[in-house]
Amino acid sequence: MRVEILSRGDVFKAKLLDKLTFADHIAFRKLIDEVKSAGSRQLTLDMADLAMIDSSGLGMIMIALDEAKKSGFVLTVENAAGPVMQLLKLSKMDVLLKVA
Amino acid sequence: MTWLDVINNDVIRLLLYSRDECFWARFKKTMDKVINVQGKLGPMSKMFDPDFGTAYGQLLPSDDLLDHMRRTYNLDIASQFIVPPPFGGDLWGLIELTEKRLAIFSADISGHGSKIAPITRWLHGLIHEQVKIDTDPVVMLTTLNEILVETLPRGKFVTFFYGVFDLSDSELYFATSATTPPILCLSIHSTATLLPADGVPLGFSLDSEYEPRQVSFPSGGCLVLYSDALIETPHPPHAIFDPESLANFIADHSRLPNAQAKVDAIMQKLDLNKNELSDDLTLVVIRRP
Repeated sequence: MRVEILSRGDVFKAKLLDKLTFADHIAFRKLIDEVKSAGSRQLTLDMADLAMIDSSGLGMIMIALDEAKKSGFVLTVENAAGPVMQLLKLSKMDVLLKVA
Repeated sequence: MTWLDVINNDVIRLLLYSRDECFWARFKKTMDKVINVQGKLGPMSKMFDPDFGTAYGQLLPSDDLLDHMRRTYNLDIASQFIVPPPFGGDLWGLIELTEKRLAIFSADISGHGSKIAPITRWLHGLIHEQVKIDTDPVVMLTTLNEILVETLPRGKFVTFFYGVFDLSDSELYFATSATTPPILCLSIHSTATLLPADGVPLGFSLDSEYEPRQVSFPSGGCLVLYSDALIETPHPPHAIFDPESLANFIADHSRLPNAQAKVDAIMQKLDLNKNELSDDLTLVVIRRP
């Protein structure tokens, strides 16, 4: 996975590219830590160019949701499509987090 | 039995999975719940068999058990289970309930390798003990979820299908948590349908609710359960099957004479000589003659 930070501040926006898999857990953790350090009130993950999320990736999103609840920021996903959106719906993450 | 009876040195291994400083408090609470829920799970030491490869085989339905189920329920049952290293956390099983009722489950624990082996064995024990108390699919998923939320480390979860065939009224009652969509074919003349499979993965939130579901399972019906390896080999977008194409394939091969022939046809199409598995593969076909 590649991560492009699009904006920092109150709304922290990051674009995820390629695939979100087990190999990305350190990068994903770093992203969450950065959002917490920035004191952002919202994290928006743009998934337009994310082709796939495997079960480890789903676990990372679950951790991010947990961190959002604990740290008081809102987790939002936008532009998810195809297999990524299917997985979010299958696991009902589309209900638990804000999907735009 | 108390929770103290359950603890032994092996449980230290569970600590490896937890980054939570409140682990022991959570563990005690969880064990109280486990003991209350299912009475006796047996010494946990038995769930951490060092020879997990051998022990793991014992978690799956044996040939004798499958033969027994075929005779008892007049069902045609065939399966394929492949575990490429490292172990991937798939599990399935059949549980005899009554003369006319049979439970089936299929689970996939997130993660790979020896770290999830104890969770797999524990889950297997929990399922078998819970059916002694309540066979209802929603109760099963809700109970397992409560226990797993308290037990699994963050980011780990279980996708799960649990169903009860009631052959007296020809119905399948089931509940799901983010599993691969089961496929149902009602007759050799019908199309194959993807059954609903959504639900919050077990182990994520105590607020999760699971929906009761029910479909007809008449004579001539066929149910296919499979793990994600079947639709992720090779990796998407190059996979041989996706759920829709798998359903179409099953419908196209509905005239094959028995469940084993259907399994063989799917495996032949998957062609593991050319396509390498990167996860456990579970495939179960149950046909009602």
